[in-house]
Amino acid sequence: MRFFARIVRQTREAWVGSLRLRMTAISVGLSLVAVVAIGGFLSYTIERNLFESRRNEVISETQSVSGSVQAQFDGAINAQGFIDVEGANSSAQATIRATTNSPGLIGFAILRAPGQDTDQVMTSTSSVGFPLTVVTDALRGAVHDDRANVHYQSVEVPGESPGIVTGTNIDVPTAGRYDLVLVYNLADVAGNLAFVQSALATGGLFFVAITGLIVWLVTTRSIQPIMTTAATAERFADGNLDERINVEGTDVSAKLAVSFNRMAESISGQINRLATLSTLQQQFVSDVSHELRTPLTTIKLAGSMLFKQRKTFDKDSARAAELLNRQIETFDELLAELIELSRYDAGAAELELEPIAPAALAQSCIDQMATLARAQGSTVTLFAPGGHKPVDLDSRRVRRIVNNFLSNALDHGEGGPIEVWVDSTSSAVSFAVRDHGVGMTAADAERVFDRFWRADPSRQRQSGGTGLGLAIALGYAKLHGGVIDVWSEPKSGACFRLTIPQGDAVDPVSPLGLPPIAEETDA
Amino acid sequence: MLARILIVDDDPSIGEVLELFLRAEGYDTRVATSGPQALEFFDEYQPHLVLLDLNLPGIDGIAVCRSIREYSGTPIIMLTARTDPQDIIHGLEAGADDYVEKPFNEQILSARIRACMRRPLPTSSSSLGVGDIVIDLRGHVVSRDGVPISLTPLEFELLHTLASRPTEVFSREALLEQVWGYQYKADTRLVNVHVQRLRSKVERDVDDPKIVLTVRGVGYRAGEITTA
Repeated sequence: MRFFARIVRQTREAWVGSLRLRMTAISVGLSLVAVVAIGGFLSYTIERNLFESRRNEVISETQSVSGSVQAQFDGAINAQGFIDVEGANSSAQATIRATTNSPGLIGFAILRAPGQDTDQVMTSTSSVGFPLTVVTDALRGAVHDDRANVHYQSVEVPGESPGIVTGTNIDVPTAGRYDLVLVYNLADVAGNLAFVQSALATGGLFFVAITGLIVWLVTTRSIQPIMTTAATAERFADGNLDERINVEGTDVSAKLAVSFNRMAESISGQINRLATLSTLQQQFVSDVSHELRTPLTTIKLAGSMLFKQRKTFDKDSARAAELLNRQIETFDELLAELIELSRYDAGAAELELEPIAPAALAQSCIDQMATLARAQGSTVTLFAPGGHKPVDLDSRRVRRIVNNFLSNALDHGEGGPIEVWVDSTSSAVSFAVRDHGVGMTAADAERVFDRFWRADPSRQRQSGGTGLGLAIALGYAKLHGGVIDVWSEPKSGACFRLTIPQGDAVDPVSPLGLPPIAEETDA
Repeated sequence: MLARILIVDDDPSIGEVLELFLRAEGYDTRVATSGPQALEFFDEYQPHLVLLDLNLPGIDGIAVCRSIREYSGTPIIMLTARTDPQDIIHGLEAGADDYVEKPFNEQILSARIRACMRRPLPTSSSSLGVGDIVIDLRGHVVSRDGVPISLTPLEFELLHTLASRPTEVFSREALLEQVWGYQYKADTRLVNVHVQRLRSKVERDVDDPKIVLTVRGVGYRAGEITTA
């Protein structure tokens, strides 16, 4: 059963997968139908002709024989009006033997028609081995009804070959009506017919096979340009933007090649233009960020020195020093994140993997945030059903992601409890941070990774977030081949979950729910 | 006597503001603005610590660092505006003890400076043996078969820290905290590079370390302790 299913599946795949196979199969099928129809018609016509000519031959022979036999009987009447019927019968038999020359005569019989009362009776006779069984009442009835003509019937003669029986009426003087019956074997006609049919069948099969071969070759030749184009398009799609097709001749396949090449040219031009633009833009952001660092170093040091000495200033100058110092911090943070992000955009960021236990990493993030958590009045709890075994992670970047989740949770958690979750399977390691604060609408949740986007503009300055944190977190997650999923409901809080695949796993299922539920893992 | 710090930066305003800041912190300072000048001042001024910008005209910071390390273990802290992680690694491999990225926080900078200055540590016992080398804690000398091995103060302290608690495995974070004075700073490259440098000096075969052992997934520990 399974073997059968496999055959069916493979056939279907081959059918759908190969244009050439499909074309060939269709044309073989159609030409087979045509050959069967034409062959059948020819065979039928030939058969009819062969049998009809033979029948006519047999009928005319029967007519001539019956004429001779009738004359024989008529001439056997002597002057006194008597007839020696048995004697006449014998001579009639001799006459039949002498006058029939058609091939295939099996035998003959002179049978007394039933239901007569005559002066004398002539004995019914038949030749040696005459197959009496093939003479039907129907034939004899027909002879009885129409005495002038020869009647015939197709039969099967002993030896299982087709045959024909003819019957005609003979009037024997004084002895009444008799049926002259002749039986012919048509084996030779059947033999000829079989030969013709087998020749037709062989010719038909050759025709079908040759048609199939021709279609296969023609299809191969004509889909060659399509296959070339498909292969080139495949390589083009894989990023080889310089792939082009060699154009030969001026036919439709050459037109295809020319059109493809023009399309490829246009696409690669666009891509290069966009790539150049994007590189220029990234380079600009990167250059600006770096150029800003040197002056900012001086500004920062000078600002903090002023800030430290503010007690010795008058009231307004002291306040100015405070403002200066605070905004320098914001500027510094923003610049640091811009640089991180531009490094990621430029593709210059490389993972620095080292084995570390995810649970330990999460714990150290929590410790790091302890002061901030206390200030916000939130308790941060670690739930680690798994993740105690070291796995290869870029600990600096993962820490950055988890810290970002945590500081967001503290910012928006409204002093409620915060849960940090860690779990791992053989295919993924996951970190999740859940708060029970203000939460977000679904529309907001979709935008959290946008650069410089803030959930609530009125609250933006509370923690000095730059609006780049989650964008960077997402970049770092992608660098690990991972994803960040968000769950949130207004007034119920939010949950951010990082999932990093392990080994060769692609799009693994996160070991943690979204949001994780304590009951799930308590057992 | 005030501790002397040599500031090397090609940007005069950074040099000046650092000088202002460090004098306020109680250090004596001098500023060099190029590579050759930095080497010249180093010999002349005999600083206790060097703040070295990597991006210098003439000879670049990495070359300056390498030249200083040829004859001195004076702590060097790189100041870097570059963001290529490879630059930091190169600087550490050239012998810098630590680095701060511009624009740095002045508290972090002074913490880094203090951490570098606090070496050498006062010690109680006189000497320790690890594998086939001997650490003379009073003389601050490490030797194998009586032949001294030249270590920078940072390398000496790294080895001393590991050897002082031989049964303990130190995580990279713990080493950052104890040797470099960091808290929650997770740039473990600092540890990796310096362990490599230390090994290249004290191990007979770097590929088969006997003095500083790696505990995969955890950190490092000292080799077999022999009481000397």
